[in-house]
Formats: sequence, C-alpha cells, structure tokens
Amino acid sequence: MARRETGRLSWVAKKQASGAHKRSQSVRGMEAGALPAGVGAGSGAPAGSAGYGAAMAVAAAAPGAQASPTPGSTLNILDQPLARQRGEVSLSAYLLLFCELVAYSRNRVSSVVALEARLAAVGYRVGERALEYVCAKSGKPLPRETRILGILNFVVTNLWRFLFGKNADSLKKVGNSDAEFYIEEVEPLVNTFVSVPKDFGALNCAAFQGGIVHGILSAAGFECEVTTYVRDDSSKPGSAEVTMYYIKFSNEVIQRERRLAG
Amino acid sequence: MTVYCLYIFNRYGECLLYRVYKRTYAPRDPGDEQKNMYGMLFAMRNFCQKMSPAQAAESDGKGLTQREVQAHLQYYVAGNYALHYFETPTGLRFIMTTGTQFTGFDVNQCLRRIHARLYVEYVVSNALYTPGEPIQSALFLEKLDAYVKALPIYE
Repeated sequence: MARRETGRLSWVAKKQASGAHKRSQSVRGMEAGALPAGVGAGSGAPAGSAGYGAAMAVAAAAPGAQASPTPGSTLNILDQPLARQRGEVSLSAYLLLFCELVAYSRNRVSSVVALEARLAAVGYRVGERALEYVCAKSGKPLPRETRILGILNFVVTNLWRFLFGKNADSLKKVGNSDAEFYIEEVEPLVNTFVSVPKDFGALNCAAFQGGIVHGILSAAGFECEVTTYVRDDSSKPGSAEVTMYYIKFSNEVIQRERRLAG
Repeated sequence: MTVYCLYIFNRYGECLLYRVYKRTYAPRDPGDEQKNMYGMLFAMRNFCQKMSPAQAAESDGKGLTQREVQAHLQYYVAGNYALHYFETPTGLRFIMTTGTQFTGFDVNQCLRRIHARLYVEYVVSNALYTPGEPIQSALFLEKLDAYVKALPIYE
C-alpha cells in the first residue's frame, strides 16, 4: 500500500514496525511529488490515508492484536496492548524538531566535525532506546541476535522500518575485512529537505542517523565505531550523493564471531 | 505573458529572496529597489485596509470577523506589467511581477503554493537555514525554478 499524503502539512513519516514494505516509495516520493502535486494541489488525500488521523490517536487499531480498540475510543495507557504496531509521526513535526536540534547544536560547536559528532551523540541515545522499544513492542518474542550479520540485517530491516518507514537501501561488506560493513542510503529521512550551504563543507546531517546505528549496535552488545559520510555516485543521475554509514566492529566482537562460527 | 521576477520579504522588510526570471533589465541597485518596493507595499497594504468597506460595517456593530474585514492587496496592474502580492499571517510577503495578460490564471494561488509547498518545506524544514537570512538553499532554488518555469504563464 504505497500512498502519499497530499494534505498540506500532514505529510507523514509513517514509522511502523511492519506491513509497509513499499513504504520507501512513499517517503522518497514526497520530494519528487512536491512539484507535480503542487500544480494540481488540493487534490485531497487519497482514500488510503483516511485512517491516518485515527492512527495518530493514542488508541490506534493494532492489526493482528488481540484486543484492537476502535479508533476514537480512549483507552487507559495500561489497557493498551503492548504490541501496538502502528506508530506514526507527522514528518513536518519530526523535521522541525530535527531542525531545532541542529540549530541548538550549531550554536555550541566551532567546527563541522564537532557538529556531526554532536548529532551522532544524540542519535546514539535514540538508538539505544529504539532497540529496546522495538524488541518490547514486537508482539512475539524476538531472538537475541548474537551474530554480526543477524544484527545488521535486523537493523536495516526491522529497525529501519520502525524508524524511517522503509528498509535501508543496501548493506554491504568491505571486501577483505570481516569487521567492516557499510549501510548505504540514497536519501536519509532527516536530509529530505536539507540543503547544505557551501561554507559547511562536507557536513551531513545524517550523522544523526549514524549515531542511531551506533547506539543500536552498542546496546545489542556489538561494540563498534560508526562514521557517516557522503559518497558521490555519478552512476545514478539525479541522486548523485549516497550517504554511507561505515561500521567497524571492535576486536572482541570479531573474536566472539569467530568462536560462534566454530 | 511572462514572469519577470520574484521577491520574498520577511516581516521586518528584509529581502530574503530576489529571483530574476525574464526581467529585461537589471536595476542599478537591487537593494534600493527592494527597499522602495517594501515601503510601497507596506503603505498600500495599510491603505487597502483603511478603505475596506467591511471596516465601516464593523463599526456599525455588526460583528464581522477579522477575516471578513481583511482587505489584502492582491495585485496591481500597470501599463505593461502586473505585480502580485501575497502575505501570510506571519508577515512573510511573496511578490511576483508578471506581464499583464494573466486573466483566468490565479497568480496569488501560485504564490500560496510557493509558500506552502516550497518555502515551508525547503526553507523552514531545512535544518541548516537560519531564519531571517537570505535564502541560499540550492535545493529550494532548484525546486522554485522548476515550479515557476512550469507555470502556464511562464513562456
């Protein structure tokens, strides 16, 4: 169900843990959709988004949950099913908060590198909590990931879908190393509307998301370093810049991995 | 029919954007022109408000809403160009100068769209934009140019 909210400001970053595998079109389509939709604007939200308001309410219907409350009824927070799977946040609200975060950080640092480090530090805290949250709300008990590939796959699918409404674009391994991986993303959610001025050099606000990845992996027991940078990909016209989250696991993790591999 | 240029002012009269499309000449001092334009529009806006017939009705005690009383300037037409004006409740002013043959096309609506769909997203939601500074965002300018150049009145 790919859908695009065309309401004036009610674009939604649908962040749900499951069910929206075509979501990537939806989030990415927003930027491209802004202009064509602008010409014939006000065409109204598609029927699919009718339930959006209800989903925003606390008492959202949880698909597949035992007791799915009807939209509009107010349930005590203790009566809500733990496995509430639909969590949606308005994209404009989310990005405005992110803007403030960047503005706040900008006033307290002297260099672009320090700004990225600061954003990553905030992201780290988000990541730690996101892992906990997704595991607690997943409905069925999740196995604890002990292998590197297992946790990385979990990050680029489940957690990415929960946080950004789509899967990450790709997960790759650095050729000759067991400890180094990278996640690629053409358009990170937080960069949807960001345009980096020249005097900011190679700043990438997605350092925040890199921090999230770091937080998740650390909380899951995989000590690592995560660096975020931009790579020019001239093979794809239009989207020349690809954000990469480069992950290097620490030695203990690699030794453990070898032990587990037997 | 053409689009000559586009201005965005904030409520303190600072010009956030001056974008030339098919303007046939460059003013000697764009800054001076912008100041004059803002001053003229400011005076015109107040005068439009003063002349509003709804205002008189309000003093009769008919209890009109603020919205009914408001009489915003929408555009003026001079001999060989027209100036379109749109002001948001926050005091942002969007101004577009075009040729005079725009009947049947709502230029104000365009300015509204530029505000709602482009300005709000690519300027306000841009984490690296400092409010009150001239707009430099390459992404915004790219989208704006694409939008303006796709308008039926742009030739």
